[in-house]
Amino acid sequence: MTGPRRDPDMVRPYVRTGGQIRPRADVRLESVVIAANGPTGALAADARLVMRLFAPGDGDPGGGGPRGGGLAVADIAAALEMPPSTVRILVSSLMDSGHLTSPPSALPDEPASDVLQEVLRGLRELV
Amino acid sequence: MTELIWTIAALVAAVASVAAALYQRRAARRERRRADRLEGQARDLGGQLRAAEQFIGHLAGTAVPAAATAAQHGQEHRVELPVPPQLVNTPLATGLGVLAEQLGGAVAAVGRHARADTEQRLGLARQEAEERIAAARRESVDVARAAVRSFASSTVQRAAKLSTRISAGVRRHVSDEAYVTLVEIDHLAQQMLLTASGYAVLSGDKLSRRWPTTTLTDVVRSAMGRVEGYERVQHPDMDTLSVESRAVEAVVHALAVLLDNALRYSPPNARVHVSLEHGHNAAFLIVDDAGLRMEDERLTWAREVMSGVQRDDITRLGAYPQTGLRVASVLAEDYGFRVDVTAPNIYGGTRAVIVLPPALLTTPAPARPATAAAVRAVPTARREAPEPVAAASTTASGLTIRRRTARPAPARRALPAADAVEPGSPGMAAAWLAGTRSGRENAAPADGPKDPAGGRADHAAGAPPEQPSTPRTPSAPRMNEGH
Repeated sequence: MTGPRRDPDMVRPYVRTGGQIRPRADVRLESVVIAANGPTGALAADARLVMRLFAPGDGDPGGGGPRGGGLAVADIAAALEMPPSTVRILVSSLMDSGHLTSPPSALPDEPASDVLQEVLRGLRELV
Repeated sequence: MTELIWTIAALVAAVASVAAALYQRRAARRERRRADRLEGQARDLGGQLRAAEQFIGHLAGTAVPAAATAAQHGQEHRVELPVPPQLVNTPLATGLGVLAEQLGGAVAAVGRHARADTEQRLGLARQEAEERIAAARRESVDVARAAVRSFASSTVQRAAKLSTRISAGVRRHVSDEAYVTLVEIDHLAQQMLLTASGYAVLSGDKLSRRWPTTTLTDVVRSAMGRVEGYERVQHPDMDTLSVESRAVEAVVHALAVLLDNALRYSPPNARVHVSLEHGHNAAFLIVDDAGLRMEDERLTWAREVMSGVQRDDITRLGAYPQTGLRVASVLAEDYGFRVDVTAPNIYGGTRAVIVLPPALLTTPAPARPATAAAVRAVPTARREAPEPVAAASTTASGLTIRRRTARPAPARRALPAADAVEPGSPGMAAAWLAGTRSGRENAAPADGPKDPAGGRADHAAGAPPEQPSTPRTPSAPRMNEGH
């Protein structure tokens, strides 16, 4: 993450995940996670990058606390330019260590088709 | 009277004859004595002659050949002959003695000459042979070098291509099984790449991969990706320093080699520690293992290799780990850093140090906050827009989401222009596919499907102004930017 550009593939995925190669089953690309009041002990570099996404912005006017918002795993992957599968594993580890958690009332991912339709319509509107 | 005369005459005659007889006898005795003396002299001379003959015979038949043999073998040999007793104190004896001595000297001189000549010729022949051997050796080294070089560089090229493909594959395939397999292959490919590029360097090639300026943390993690057992490597964050672009691959390679050594020579459950020390005029990247301390002999060898005394002969390489150290030292010299190995360290193992001069380092002070801000932009943008509005309208689950997206959308649209029309990354598309599929599958069970969404909205309403699926929508265009 230094200089004008970096090569996201310079550090290989298995190193980023510390040798873990399988995510938790409930962490999917579309899963939304939020920051928890978990321990804030020493984190590995990539875990810290993920957690930073959940931190309040510097000049954020009304920005809530660190647990301000949820992010989908796919969003995190896009923001960090990392392979989605790698991010799933990173997020899994962060959930295991109590840094991230699922939104309290979120049920297993079963989006209603009409909701998706709405979202899709919204997307089309964007385009 | 006459008688008297006769008598006197007779007397005189008798005396004379007696006298004559006496004289005769004495003369005869004298003659015999002389004859005896002459005979003795003749006998002596005969003896001397035989002695001289024997002496010369011995000289020619035994002494000279012995001297010649001795001279041939390069030994000093003095011709010494006992003078026969018959010849003692005769000029002949003196003459013969001189002759023997001179003959011996001459033989020895001839021998010496012959020997010197032989040695000279031998020396020339040897020199010539050595020159030819050296030439043949140079030629074979060149041939070997060329062979290794072409093999190594083609392997490097293919392995690099392979690793790019794997990276693409890891991004494209979201299935767990595909990921596991790809990651395993990737790890092997990275190790292969390390070995191959090591040989490429030893055979005179330059490192072919280029990286942007990179923090030491990523340098270490990149090196970890190239060795077996990287899980055992522990390192702190070293984001305070970055390695200049031109030296990144070299430092990563050298570090990977040192890590590989450390991991190989330490027990399978022992950790290998990487740390950073800021020196007066350099930074020290330190690799400590808790393995067996390197023996003095091996340490000396390693230092010799590091100092460049014996390292560039491609035909005298040992097993792989040894190749590694040579490569590290070649890279260190080419790129202007230093590698050192000491033992024992605090763990009783071996310590390897990469000494990085300031010329290869930068301080990424401005880069860090900038990137952090950029990354955070996603949630920030999201949070900015709808706070009050969202709070008002969260009751309607689906609608809320749409409104929120709609608002920041025009602003965002202005920036990325038409690019945003492009589909998202494969990963994103897959996520959507999975989402819609599961949504459609679960559409049937009455109101059930609505609940999850509603539930999320509730959560969002209850807690700060955050909506569940909102993140996805604004981030879609962003994803396009990213890729």
